Amino acid sequence: MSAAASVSGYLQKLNPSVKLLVVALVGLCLTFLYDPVTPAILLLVVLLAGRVLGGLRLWSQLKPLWVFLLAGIAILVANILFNKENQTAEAIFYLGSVKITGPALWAAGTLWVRLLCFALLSLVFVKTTEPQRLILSLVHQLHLNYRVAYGTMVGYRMLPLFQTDYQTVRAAQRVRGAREATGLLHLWSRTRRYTIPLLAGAVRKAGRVALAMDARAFGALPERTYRERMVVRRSDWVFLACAVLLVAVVVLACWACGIARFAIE
Amino acid sequence: MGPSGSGKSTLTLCLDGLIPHVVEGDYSGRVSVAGLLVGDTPVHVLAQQAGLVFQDPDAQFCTLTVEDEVAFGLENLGRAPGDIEAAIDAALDSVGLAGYRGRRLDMLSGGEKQRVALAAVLAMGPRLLVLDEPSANLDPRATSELFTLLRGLAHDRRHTVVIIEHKLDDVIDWVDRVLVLDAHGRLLCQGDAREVFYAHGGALQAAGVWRPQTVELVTGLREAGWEVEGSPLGVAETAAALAATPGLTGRLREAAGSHGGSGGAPPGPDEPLLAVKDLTFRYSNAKEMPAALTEVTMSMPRGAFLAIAGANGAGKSTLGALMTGVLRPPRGHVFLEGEDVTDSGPHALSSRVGYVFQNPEHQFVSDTVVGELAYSLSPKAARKGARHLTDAQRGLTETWLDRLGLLNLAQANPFTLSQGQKRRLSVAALLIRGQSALVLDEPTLGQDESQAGRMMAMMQEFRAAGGTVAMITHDMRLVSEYADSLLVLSHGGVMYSGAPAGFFARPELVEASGLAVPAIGRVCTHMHAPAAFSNGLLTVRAFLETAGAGPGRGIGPGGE
Repeated sequence: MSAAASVSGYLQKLNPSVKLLVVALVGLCLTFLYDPVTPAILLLVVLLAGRVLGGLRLWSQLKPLWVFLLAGIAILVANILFNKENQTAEAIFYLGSVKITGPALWAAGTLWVRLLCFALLSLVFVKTTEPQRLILSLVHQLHLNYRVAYGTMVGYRMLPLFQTDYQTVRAAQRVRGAREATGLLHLWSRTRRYTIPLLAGAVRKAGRVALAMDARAFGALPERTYRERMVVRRSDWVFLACAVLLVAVVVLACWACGIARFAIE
Repeated sequence: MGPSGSGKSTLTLCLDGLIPHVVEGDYSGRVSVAGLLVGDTPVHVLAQQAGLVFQDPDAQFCTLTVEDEVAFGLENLGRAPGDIEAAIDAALDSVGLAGYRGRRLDMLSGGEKQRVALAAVLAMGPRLLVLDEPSANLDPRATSELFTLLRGLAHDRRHTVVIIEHKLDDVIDWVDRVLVLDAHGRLLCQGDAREVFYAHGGALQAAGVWRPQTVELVTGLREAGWEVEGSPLGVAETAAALAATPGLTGRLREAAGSHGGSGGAPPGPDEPLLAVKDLTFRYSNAKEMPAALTEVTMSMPRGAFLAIAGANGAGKSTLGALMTGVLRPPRGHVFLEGEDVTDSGPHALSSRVGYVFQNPEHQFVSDTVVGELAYSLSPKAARKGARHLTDAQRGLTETWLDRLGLLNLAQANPFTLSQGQKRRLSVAALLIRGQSALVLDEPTLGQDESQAGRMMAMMQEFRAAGGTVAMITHDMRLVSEYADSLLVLSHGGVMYSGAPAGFFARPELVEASGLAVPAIGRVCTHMHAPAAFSNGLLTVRAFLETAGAGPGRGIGPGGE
């Protein structure tokens, strides 16, 4: 996420709320697609957009997706075993006594590619959006209460601090001679041992930040001003239109070729 | 000033209205700031009169970049964007961070963060600046930069500065008034700094409050019969007063001839307990960063008291972690009693050399004080209750509880102890395992004089019983008073290794390392004392010993 600030491509300059809207629209569109090919094409489009418009290297986009490879295997297994069309459909081949059917593979592939596409969309969004700009835009365009928005941002700022704390607590307790007991039996005592110092630290830090915010008049007045105001420019609207158009073209083309199937059919 | 838990921080919250408006509690009496009655004035109005800077910069930032942080308060007040831009530049300029506008807060050094925190407060235009131990997490150079800045603000006649601080020697010469609270939150004394320190010195000491070293020195000299004129504060004044004291300079010169450097006893020639040879270490998650340590060679002789010092980020904590098995050192570089520690695993190392973390709470593993000690003897007993301890182990925990003065708090939760008690408990929980050496990370950070004194007494006791101590610290006073050898790191490399006096005698090294000479050493330098006797004359005790009894006592010179 730290890369977001350093790169400044086209996607980085867009209004975060507009970008969020595009992500939501593409996501919505994905939920209605019921074939693996159309989402796969959309996936490629997003990947290219990330590369060309966002300046993200392909590998940096693909690498974080490896977790979804595991999810893909889980989806595949679940479909092979439990897809409701397994009884009626023809077997393509048998794996031992397990019947592998076309609909099972189709459903698994669809779900998996859709999932990858969702994941990549979120990833490109996160990697091209500065958190500060997102928060401001949520306040300015979507009229989120600024108290909530800034609270979220302070929480975000604290995440790496908690991570450091967690590592320190782990090391500190290892020094006490606490062997890293890995068994399930020790899970409870270990969790408790880590949690209490972490929570104590977190509560104290949160309290201090809250005081520091109050000390600088945060929340004292119903309205506050902003040094930098997020606006929706013409280029944002152009991006929105282009994105919708592109997705529509891809989906319609697939439909025309007979590839695309829709969940609502 | 005041001992830990005396209500200093609470008082600062009263000054800008967080008490009673935000923090709830019983509130009576009147506080007024700049003519406004705090109890009747909303916080956002008070915020423009009184600005607060806290100890930990990370726990007071509300945004991600420098400019947003400085703008934060002004935006809350509803100022126009154009005015805010100008105010950001002015505020950053006044703290010497003009080029830092777009920088990310998490990439700044501790000293820079504290200056941004100050700028963020200054931008709101307060007349009163309240700082709660702003230098606690800073190294000596960053501390002195911050103090120089504050001194400038205090002198521009627009700002009143209220500061809670332990490092008195660097601030005392521009402090006009001192207010001391006692352990129960009552006013002990207040008034002119000279009067408080010289007339109430005994009361301050009894309350466990830090005093400037220069004041301790002058008081000590007077007790020994030297006639030091006036009530000097700060290094320059004290040096001048001492130089004017009849016979003192002569005595020091004489002693320098006969003494020849009074460093600690040189450690024995036998094999060191722990040796580090040509150690280079790079964190595996920071491959593109420069190495945290480069070719560090050092050794910890048995029974030594070693200090590890250096600017923030010089690699002190990394070295400490590698010496104690918290981090796994590469093969062939760290040796415990001559054997490579990677042969027996880091666990064997940490059972011989303990690491005391900066925050004692991180090391607590149990709900009770006695459980903390029991855990070290037998983790099972700590999980299932003290009845799983053997009689001998139970006896041992009792002894330690007694020694810590925590017998009646044995069943209390360790998180409820005072800061000093927590620290001593975390040390005891390591010592009870019979470790032969301890590495302490900033052992006296944020503690008052009596707590720090008890902590160091505990370490002296441990050494007397044959233990070896290494401490990582920024506190040069601590180094000169306790350590018999000093290792100075700079950018991950060893800059100096040897007796502390040898390091402080070389101003160019001290300057380059980002550290500072202790106040007494600076007094000697100001007195134009020859280099020979600035060796070893770094602490009040050493100075007093060298000076001996003054003429007022009627003992002839040479009576050492």
